Amino acid sequence: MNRFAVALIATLVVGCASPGKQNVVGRTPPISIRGWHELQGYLQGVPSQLRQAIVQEGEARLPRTVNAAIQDAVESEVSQAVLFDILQHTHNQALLPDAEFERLASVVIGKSQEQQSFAAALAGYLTQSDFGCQQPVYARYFQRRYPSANLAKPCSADVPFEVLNQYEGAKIVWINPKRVKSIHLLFASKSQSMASRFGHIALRLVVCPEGNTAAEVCDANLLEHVTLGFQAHIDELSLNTIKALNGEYKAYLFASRFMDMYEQYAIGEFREVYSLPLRLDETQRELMVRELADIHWRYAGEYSFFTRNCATLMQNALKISWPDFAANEKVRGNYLRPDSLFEAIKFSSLAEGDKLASLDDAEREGYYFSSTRQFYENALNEVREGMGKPAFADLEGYLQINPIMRRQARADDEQFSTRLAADRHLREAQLMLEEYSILRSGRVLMIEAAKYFERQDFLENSDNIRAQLDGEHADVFEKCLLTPIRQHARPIQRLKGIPVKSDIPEMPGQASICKSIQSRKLLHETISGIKNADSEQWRKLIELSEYLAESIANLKLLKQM
Amino acid sequence: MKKIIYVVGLAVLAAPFAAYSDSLIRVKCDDDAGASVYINGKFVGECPVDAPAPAGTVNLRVRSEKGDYEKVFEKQLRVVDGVPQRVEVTLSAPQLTAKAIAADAGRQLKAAEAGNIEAMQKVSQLYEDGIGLEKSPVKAKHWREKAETAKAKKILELANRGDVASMEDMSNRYETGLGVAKSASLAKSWGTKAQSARQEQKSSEKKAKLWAKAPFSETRQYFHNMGKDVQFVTSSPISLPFTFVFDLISLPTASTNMVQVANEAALRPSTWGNPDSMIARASLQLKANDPAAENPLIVAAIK
Repeated sequence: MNRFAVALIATLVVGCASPGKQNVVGRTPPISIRGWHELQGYLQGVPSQLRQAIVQEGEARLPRTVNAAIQDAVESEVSQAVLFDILQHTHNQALLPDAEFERLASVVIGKSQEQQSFAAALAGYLTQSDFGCQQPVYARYFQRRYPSANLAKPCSADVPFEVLNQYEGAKIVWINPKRVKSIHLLFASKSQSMASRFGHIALRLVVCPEGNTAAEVCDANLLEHVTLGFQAHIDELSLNTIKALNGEYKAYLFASRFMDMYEQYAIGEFREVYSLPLRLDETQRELMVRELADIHWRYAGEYSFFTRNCATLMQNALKISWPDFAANEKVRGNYLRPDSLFEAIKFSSLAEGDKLASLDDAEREGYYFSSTRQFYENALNEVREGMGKPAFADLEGYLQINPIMRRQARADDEQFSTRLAADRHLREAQLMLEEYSILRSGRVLMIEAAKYFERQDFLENSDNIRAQLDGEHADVFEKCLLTPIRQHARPIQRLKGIPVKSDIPEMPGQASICKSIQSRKLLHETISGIKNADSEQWRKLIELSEYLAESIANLKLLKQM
Repeated sequence: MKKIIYVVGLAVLAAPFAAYSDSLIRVKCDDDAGASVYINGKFVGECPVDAPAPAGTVNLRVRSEKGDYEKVFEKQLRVVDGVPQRVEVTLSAPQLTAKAIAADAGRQLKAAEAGNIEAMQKVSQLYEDGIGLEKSPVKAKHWREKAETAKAKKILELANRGDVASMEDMSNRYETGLGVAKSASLAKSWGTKAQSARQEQKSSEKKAKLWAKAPFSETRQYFHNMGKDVQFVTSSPISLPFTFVFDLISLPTASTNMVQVANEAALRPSTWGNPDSMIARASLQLKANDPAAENPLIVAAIK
């Protein structure tokens, strides 16, 4: 798998955390005296049993000389470093991870990663005032294990999510949990593909518009709703069944726009989407949003299509972020299939299952989104009936007609054109068909482009290509093609918790120079000038992009009517 | 010999009239026997006829009528006392009678009043010429202007539907004020639109020719094979955004807000197919939040 292919299908989740490693070597170096003294201040509010255990360990480690490096660090860092040092060498059971922590760590960061040090987490919890905002799952665990009244600091109102948008890439979206009116369990019905044969399950955050929390307004604010779901990161161009079964793909908790998910399932694959409201009060919702954000920024685990899939990983996430779910007898099972998990929750007291009793009502209230297949077929029939001599019988037939010919056929059919101008319902039907053509051809374009880029491997062959270019072309090739590819080729990185604004790495973007028509022309010339076995594929891509552009032109013309 | 007999015959016939200082005209109609013959406006018999005529200048008129049409022959003759004349008549091609012209004008007027543009133009001409309607330059102008206004309205509709010739026509009309209020800015605007549409049309024609040679067999194939291939991509988020890939491959053209296109494309099916759905409500809310936006979805949602 070459680097560019990886770049093309690698996800954009960024951030990095080098997890600490519990050091259990026999020799224990001395700790800083200054750091130890400063740590005393942090330990004032700590439960006495815990404080005593730490003090006992620390005093045994006081040195004869002071560690100069630690002396220079800022106070909290010194204290944290000293505490971390003490904790990672301790054998005191009260200061070591228990089974509950191991379970949480597997859900929050994933087993396949090197496990974050319990010592580092506890040191952070005791010395960092914002630890509860950065790592709320661990903070709640420590609060349970070492109850204390004065450690929590109010968190900032908004929580960030890196929301993927298939058209523009990833964007950071800040969500105030108080704006989340409800959380739904989303279920997309099964499809023929192996990855979705039992459907797909995710969560939907029903986000209210800024400044308006009226229920009906929040429900209809679909463009701002966000979904959170565990998905496999398939880092190659076709699904490798063996790898899928062996758990060789990575899983992440991805955030997406609800409308993208709707488009993918209800339009792209003609699947049905169910949205089941969970019974959560405001406090529970806020807790869940913050803890899911924690997992979103940190989790990277194995994904196996049968044993560690969207359903099993979601159950685990719900168990830690929703105490009622963990305690509910009716959902105690280990659900390996998304459809089974959805059914179990639907018929439990955890969700408002009755909302799906009538699909008509559910579709009106936003709990059910039907497949759009029937709507497209009705639109197609209405357009066919309106045209004198339609050259298509079904949707696939419509897509197979050159969009310029489609435009011409409409213009030639004067009676149909007149009706289109006068009849909005018919015009909407016609718009739907052209938009369908745009969505479908866009998907095909991305697939074919991935194949092309994988074979061309621009990063690998950049020197050869650059050698054949003049200065102007080489400059654009570097800035507008190689640089963005390198940016996107960065491996998926994990952060050490929910980031604040300053901790969020810069999103990959394009230099403004690359947006100019001149640059685009030069880049286009550069790629078109590459003559090799894949030149034919490039020609096909241009044809596809023209198909798409002409469909967009059709759309614009129809909207002008 | 035949000529001698004819002259003698005429002389015999003319004898009784000689005393009145008159003469005789023999009118012959080879193909239109039975046509009415008038001398100085007075009916003198049906063709063929020998009719007395006073010396001096006389007007001969021969007319044959069938339904709404008539055929006419008119000639001014110089009659010399006692000298008979012979006139061979060839009637004109059939033409509408005055009565029929008046009736037709009435019908045109009615059609014009009902909004028929061609009738308006015809009525204007009839008033101009005073044919079938009493001549009136004022009314002629009124109907000419009305016709142009109606015509401009129709052309504007076509222009709005993308007809390039109509766009050019509208540009000229705004320039000259023909059928519309004169407006330099609108003339320019339609001129620019027409120019751009004409270029687009040429480019499309060029592409269509290219595609006609190779009717994008690959693209057709793609739509046959959609399904399995698409699945794996949809199950994994793609890092390179669509706009980057599309911008890279496509030749520089007007940029398109793909997010907006995709949003509308995603909202439209359910809004159209089930106006009672939450998706339709989302469309409505979208419009309410941005009332300035031209969003046709709103219409479908309301419907």
